[in-house]
Amino acid sequence: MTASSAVQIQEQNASARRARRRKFWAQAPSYVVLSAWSFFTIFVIGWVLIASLKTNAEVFRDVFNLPEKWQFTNYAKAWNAANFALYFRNSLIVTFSSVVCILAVSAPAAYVLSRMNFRGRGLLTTIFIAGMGIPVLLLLIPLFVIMTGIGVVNTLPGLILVYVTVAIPFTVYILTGFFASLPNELEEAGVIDGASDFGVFWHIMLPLASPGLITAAIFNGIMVWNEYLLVLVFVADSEKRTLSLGLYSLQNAMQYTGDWVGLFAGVSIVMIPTIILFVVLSERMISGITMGAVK
Amino acid sequence: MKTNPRLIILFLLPATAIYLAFFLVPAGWAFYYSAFDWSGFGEEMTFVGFKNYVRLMTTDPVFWESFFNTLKILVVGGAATFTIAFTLAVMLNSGIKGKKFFRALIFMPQVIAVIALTTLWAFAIYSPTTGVLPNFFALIGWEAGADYLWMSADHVFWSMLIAIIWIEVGFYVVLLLAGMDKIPMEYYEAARIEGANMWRQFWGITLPLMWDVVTIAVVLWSISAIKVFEFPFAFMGPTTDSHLYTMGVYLYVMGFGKRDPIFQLGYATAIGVLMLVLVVVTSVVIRRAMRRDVLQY
Amino acid sequence: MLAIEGTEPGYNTNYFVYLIARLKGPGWMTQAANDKSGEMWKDPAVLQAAQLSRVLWDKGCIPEVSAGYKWPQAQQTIAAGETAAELVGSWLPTELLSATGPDFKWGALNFPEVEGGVGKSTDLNAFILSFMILKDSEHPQEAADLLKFIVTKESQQTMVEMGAVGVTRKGVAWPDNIKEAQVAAESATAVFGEGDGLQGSNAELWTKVIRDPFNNMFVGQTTPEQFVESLVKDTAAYWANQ
Repeated sequence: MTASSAVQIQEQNASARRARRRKFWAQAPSYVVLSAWSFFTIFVIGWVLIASLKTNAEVFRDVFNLPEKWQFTNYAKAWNAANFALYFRNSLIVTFSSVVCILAVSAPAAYVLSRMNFRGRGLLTTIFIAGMGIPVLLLLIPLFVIMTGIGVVNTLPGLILVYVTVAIPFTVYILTGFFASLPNELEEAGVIDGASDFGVFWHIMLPLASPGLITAAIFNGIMVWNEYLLVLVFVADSEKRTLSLGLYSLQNAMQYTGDWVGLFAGVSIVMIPTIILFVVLSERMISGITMGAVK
Repeated sequence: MKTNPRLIILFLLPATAIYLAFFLVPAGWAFYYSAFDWSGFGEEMTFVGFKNYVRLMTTDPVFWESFFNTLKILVVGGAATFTIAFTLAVMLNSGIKGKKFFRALIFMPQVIAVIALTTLWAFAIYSPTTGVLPNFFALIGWEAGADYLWMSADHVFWSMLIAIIWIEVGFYVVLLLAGMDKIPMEYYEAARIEGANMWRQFWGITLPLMWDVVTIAVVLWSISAIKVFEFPFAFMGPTTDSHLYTMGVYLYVMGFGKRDPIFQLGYATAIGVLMLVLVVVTSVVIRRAMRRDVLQY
Repeated sequence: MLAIEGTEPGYNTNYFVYLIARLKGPGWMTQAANDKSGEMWKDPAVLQAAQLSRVLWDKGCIPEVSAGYKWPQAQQTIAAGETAAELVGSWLPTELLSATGPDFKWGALNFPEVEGGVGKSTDLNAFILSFMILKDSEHPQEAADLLKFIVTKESQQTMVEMGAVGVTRKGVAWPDNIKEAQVAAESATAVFGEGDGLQGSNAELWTKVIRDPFNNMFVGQTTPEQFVESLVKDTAAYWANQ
């Protein structure tokens, strides 16, 4: 090795280091801001989870400390005394049934709207999607009259019907986008193989669209699980409440107990399932959001 | 494109029937109800024409308060949300490590029930006794910050708006990031060679090339901002402070009363109709204002 | 120090209701609200009541932080020993039981009379829950039997013991920590409901014209003069639209 080439390598190394250093300093503000934002979110959610395991006195006395003894009985109280066991079951039933019905109703419609040719197709698609802009609050009073008329107010099937209804615009929107993006060749191959139109839908297109269906299922599932306005209006009996309405009631019923830690335990019971779901499925959810809007 | 009338009708029927009967019909019916004086389900309805609208707009200060609150969420909240979302998205897109991790955490409030988040913000963040913010400020010895009353009548609306922005930013970060991902990297490389800094790159390349996504994002924001209900409704105690009334909350209070027996069903429905009008007007205005020639690349 | 839930108009407006009742007598507020011109609110007693409610803040009887309390944060301060009293109902000891423990010493007193007023300190603001049978109820007889059962001495005794609440039947002693409330109830010279009864008879006017604007004044967003002005104007506007 000659002396001059050694100097050259040294210079190259030095410039690479400089570049790295420059890049680091250029990115430092990004790291600071993103870390601060993320830390805040983790911290407050963690604070509630920890507070739900304290005693009432500790919540007020040692705001930032860990509990002396982890009070798992808070959860037992929320679960049993505040009826969260029942609400959890109701939420599971309502969420699962709603999601199945939403997909069963919206997927065929979205398929036809995106892949079949008929008059009025564009108009019908527009009408479905326009529903995304109509505030659900506008529907409440007339819908209440209709639901009373057919006798399904204050029943879980009635509540599921309402959820299916309000989910149609968004679900049709996201699924038409998905079906439209599938290639034509497979469909044609199916027809050549002698499959019926229904067979093509059921055996070929639906499986191909399963990522879209799963995305729609996740979003609607979370919407139904978290929603409380429609339960508040369409369900009167306390034993038919879902979890989020149960939490709303617990918030207002603290007057009977003054039980803050019980409230935090209730908050945690409502939050934890969707957070776990999100940890497992965050990539799919995040890519799902952009599917409809960014083509 | 195929056509098969029987399949088409069969596939469209369930969704169309439900959507028509339980969505479009009630929406249309709302216009009819809004022309009546109607003080409760099962009560007599008296036709009053446009009187509910006249009353709302001429003699009801609470309606205007709720209207301007909605407008503040729409405009001020929108400006803040998009500024923050763009900042975070550009930062996430600058080649940093842990992009997916940060993105997931920023998005996370979106999947948590709003009713849980209201409890979190009211009791765990803002409360003068148990709140993280006042206690943190006290810890670092900043007295003015520690004594700031987040939930008092003067401040509660803005405190609520901060919480709403924190919830919503994640959705728009994800949306804007997806728009940025479509932009070919060569454009940035070319710009860097010409010596354009990040600020210039953003205005010269990023924003124009993802304008379609931005337009959709702004329309989605306006729709969701106008119907804000769940957060302010549950943020306070048994009665919702009128400082937090949005049009949605006021509609509910006038129609169902929360804990007071108010049942002005026609009047409440008229508020709903005005919400729809606001959605339509806003969407049209946004689409017009943001119309640009489509950039090809 | 007094406990005040700054963001809970439903509680705070009780000060206004009581002060009006002490100055002008129970029922006067309902009359004023039903005066379609709104002019009755111009009575000097209304302004006086509004100003008197502010005196509590001005004299430092209410911690400044109270304006930022979301219910039930303020009442918790009673359990913590930071405040001594709250204008509220006999349900408070039950609400605070888990924070105070069973041995907390409770007491109650009637809202005092106001100099020059016609109301007595024994005129009582009471939030009473009642039962009723709907006219097209499917089983009216059974419902009536249930109500009869509820008001038997044994049932009422059970409600006192298990529910720790006051009951309607005379001769059944209320729980110890609200025994003053029983004395007040039994010696009441007049009884008026939430918002002098307006919360039940005209909830819209009560909440929009009286309750929420009063609270804004109470926490210092508007002045007593502005509040009275808005009472006159908004009451007239409300009735003009009926």
